[in-house]
Amino acid sequence: MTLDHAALVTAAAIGIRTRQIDLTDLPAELLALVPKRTETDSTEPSDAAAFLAAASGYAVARRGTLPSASGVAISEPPDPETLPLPPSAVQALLPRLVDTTPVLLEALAMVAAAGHRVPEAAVPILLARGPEVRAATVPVMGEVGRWLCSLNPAWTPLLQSSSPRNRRTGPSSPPAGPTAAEMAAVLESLARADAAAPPELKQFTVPWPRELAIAVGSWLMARLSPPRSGQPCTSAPPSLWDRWAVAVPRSDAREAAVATQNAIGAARHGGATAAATTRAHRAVHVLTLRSILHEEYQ
Amino acid sequence: MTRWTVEQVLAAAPDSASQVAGRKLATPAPWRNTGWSGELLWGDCLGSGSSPYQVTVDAGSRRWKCSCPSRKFPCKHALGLLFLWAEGRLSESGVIAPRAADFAAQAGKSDSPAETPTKQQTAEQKAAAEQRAARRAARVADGMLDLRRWISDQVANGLSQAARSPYGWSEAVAARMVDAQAPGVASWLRRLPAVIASGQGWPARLLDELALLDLLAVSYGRLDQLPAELAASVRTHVGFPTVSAEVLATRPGVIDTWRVLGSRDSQEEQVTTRRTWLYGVRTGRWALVLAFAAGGVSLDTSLAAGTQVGMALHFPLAALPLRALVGPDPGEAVAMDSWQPEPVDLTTAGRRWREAVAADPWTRTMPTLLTGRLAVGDRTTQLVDDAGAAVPVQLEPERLWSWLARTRGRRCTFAGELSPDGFRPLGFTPLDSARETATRSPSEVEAWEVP
Repeated sequence: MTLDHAALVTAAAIGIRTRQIDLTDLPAELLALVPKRTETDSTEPSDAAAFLAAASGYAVARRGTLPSASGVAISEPPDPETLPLPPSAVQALLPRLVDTTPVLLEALAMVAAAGHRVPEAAVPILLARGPEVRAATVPVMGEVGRWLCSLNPAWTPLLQSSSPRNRRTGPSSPPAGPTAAEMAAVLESLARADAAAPPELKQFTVPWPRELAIAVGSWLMARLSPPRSGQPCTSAPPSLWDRWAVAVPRSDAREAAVATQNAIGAARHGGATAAATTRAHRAVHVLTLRSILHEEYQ
Repeated sequence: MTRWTVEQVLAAAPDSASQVAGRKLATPAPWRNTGWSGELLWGDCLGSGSSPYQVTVDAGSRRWKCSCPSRKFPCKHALGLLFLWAEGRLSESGVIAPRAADFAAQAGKSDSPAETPTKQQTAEQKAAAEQRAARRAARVADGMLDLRRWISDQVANGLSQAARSPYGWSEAVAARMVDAQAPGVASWLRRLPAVIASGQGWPARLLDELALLDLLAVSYGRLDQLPAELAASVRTHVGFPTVSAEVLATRPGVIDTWRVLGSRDSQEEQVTTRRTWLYGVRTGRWALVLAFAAGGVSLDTSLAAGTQVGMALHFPLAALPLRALVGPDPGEAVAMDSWQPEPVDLTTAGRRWREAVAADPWTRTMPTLLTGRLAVGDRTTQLVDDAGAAVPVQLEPERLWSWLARTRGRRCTFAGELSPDGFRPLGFTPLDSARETATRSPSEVEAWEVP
C-alpha cells in the first residue's frame, strides 16, 4: 500500500514517535528524496529527518498545484446603465461625504432628483453603510447596484424597493438652495463688517456659492485663530449672521452660523475651547460641501 | 519636470485618510503666496493655527517640508499643494520663493554625488568585512541546525500539541532565529500561528510549512552543492539582505519601459512593505520592486499603479529572478499608454506557477495576467477563465464588492499574484470595451475607501 500524504499528516499530527510509519511505502519518486541511514554519520538521518524529507516532497508537489475551484455559476453581467453620472465635481465630492451622513443623504437625494447615478465604485461602499444611507442609495445605484444586490444576500431585499416601477427615469426639481444673488449679498456684508477681512474677500465679486462658502470659511477660520497682535477677536454684528442664515435657509447652515458665532464669542472672552472651535470648523466644512452640491445642481 | 498626475499624488499619500485630507485642501481658498518653478512648489496654507503653515515641495526628489506638527510625510498640506499643481491650478512663478530656494539648496548639499566622498575599502576593511560575513554564515549554520532539531521534535511529538498554544508555540524558536541572524526564517515561523488557526485541514498545511522550512535548512547546509542561482535564493529566504550597491554594480540593468500594474502593502513586525509589480513592454518580463517603511517614514511612492517608467532594473541573482532594484536616473513616470495584453488562461498560468515552484520551492507568490470573469458564490469568489476552469480569489470582503462593481461581471484581463491560496487581483483591463485598454489605476477604488 502506497504511503500517501494523508498518512504522513496523520502520523505528524499524532507524532511519529507514537505513530511509526514505514517510509519504504512512499511512491518511488518521493522515496528517492529520503536520505539513507549510514553508519558513519551519527546525526543524519534521524527518523524525523527522513520523514521530513518525504513530507517536503509532498509539500513542493502540493505547492506547485494551484487550488482549483468549482461550484460557482457565472452570473449574467448587469444591464447597460440608463442613468448618466453626475457632474465630475459631485463625483469628486461624494467620497468626502461618506462620514458626513446628513450631507451625504442630501447629496444622494439631489443626485436622484437630477436623474443621475453614483459612480460604480461608490455603490458597494454606500450599500455597506447603515439603513438610511442604503435606502437613499437605491434610486442612484444604477444597474450595477441592482446586480450587486442580486449577488449579495444581505442586499437582496433592497431590490424590492428598486423595482422598475420605482426607478427614476429622469430629473425632477432639485431641492432649493441659496441663490447666487443672496450669497453675494452675504459676502458683501461680511466684507463690509470686518475691516480686517482678507483683501481677496473684500475684492471678491464672483457670486458663486462654492467660492462664497470657501471664502466665508477662510474668513471664519481667520477669525477663530488666536489674534497675532494680542487684540481680542471682535464679534461679527448679529445682523450679519441673520443675513447669512437667510441666504442659507437650511437648519444645518443656521446651526453652523450659531456654532461659529459662539466660538468667536468664546474666543473674544478668552475662553475659546478646542471643542467649540472644532464644532465651528466642522460646521463651516459641512456648509462648504453643501454649497458645492447646490452649485452643481442649481 | 513632468507635472505629476493626480494618481501620483494619491500614491504619495501615506494613507487613505491623508488622501482625503489632502483633497480637501486642494482648493485655492486656504492658500496664499503660492507658486511653482521647475520641480519646486511652495505656498502658505491657512490652518487652525495663528500663522499659516509654510509648505515647500521638491517634486523631483520627492521631498516635502511643512511647518505643521503632523507626523505624516507628506502631510495633508503638502498633498493639497501637490493636488493643486497636478490639476494645473497653481500659477507658475518666475521667481522662486527664498525658502523654496533654500530647500532646494539643502537637497543639493546632501544629495550631490560630487560632494559625497567616494568610499573605497582598504584591504584591511575588506578582510574585516569578509571575517564578519564568515562569522554570520557560521551563526546562521548553527541556527539552521537548531531549527532542524526543533522541527524534528515537533513531528516526533505530534503537531496536535501546537493547537494548545498556537501563538506561543513557535515564538521561542523564532526569537532564536533572530539571534542567529536568520530573519527570513524567523518571520516564516511567526506566520505559523495563522496556519494553525486557518480552520479545517490545518495539520496538513502546517506539515507542509514545517517540511519546507526543514528543506530550507537542509539546503543551507549544502549551499556549495547547489547551482549559484538556487544558492542565492536559499540565502535570500533565510534572510541575508540584498545589498543594493553590490547588485547595482555587478548585475546588468534591464532597460525597458516598465508598466506599473499594481501594488499592495503588508505590515509585519512594525515594518510596512510595499510590493509593486512591473511588466516590461519590450522584454515581457515581470519585476517586483520592494519598498520598506518604519517609524513614521513614508513609503517610496515613485512607482504609482497606472503609470509607466523608462528605466533600468537590476535583478539580483536568483532561481526565480523577480525581485528587482531600480537603477540610477529612472525616467519620469507617465500615464500608462494603451495596452491590450494577450489573454492568459488558467492552464497556462498553472503551468507557469508549477515551473516557478520547481525553480524556487519556497516562493510565495508569482505575478501573472489572467483572463476571465469574477464569479461570486455563497462562500467563495472565483476567477473563471474562458474554458470554465476556476481559481479562488483572495480578497477581503470589503474589497470584493468594489472589485465586482468595477469589473461589472465583464470578461477582463487581471494583473495579480498567484499563490498556493489562489489569485489576488491588483489591476484589471476590461476586454469588451475598445476605450478601456489601459490597466486601471486602483486610485478609483482607493478614493472610495472609508478612512
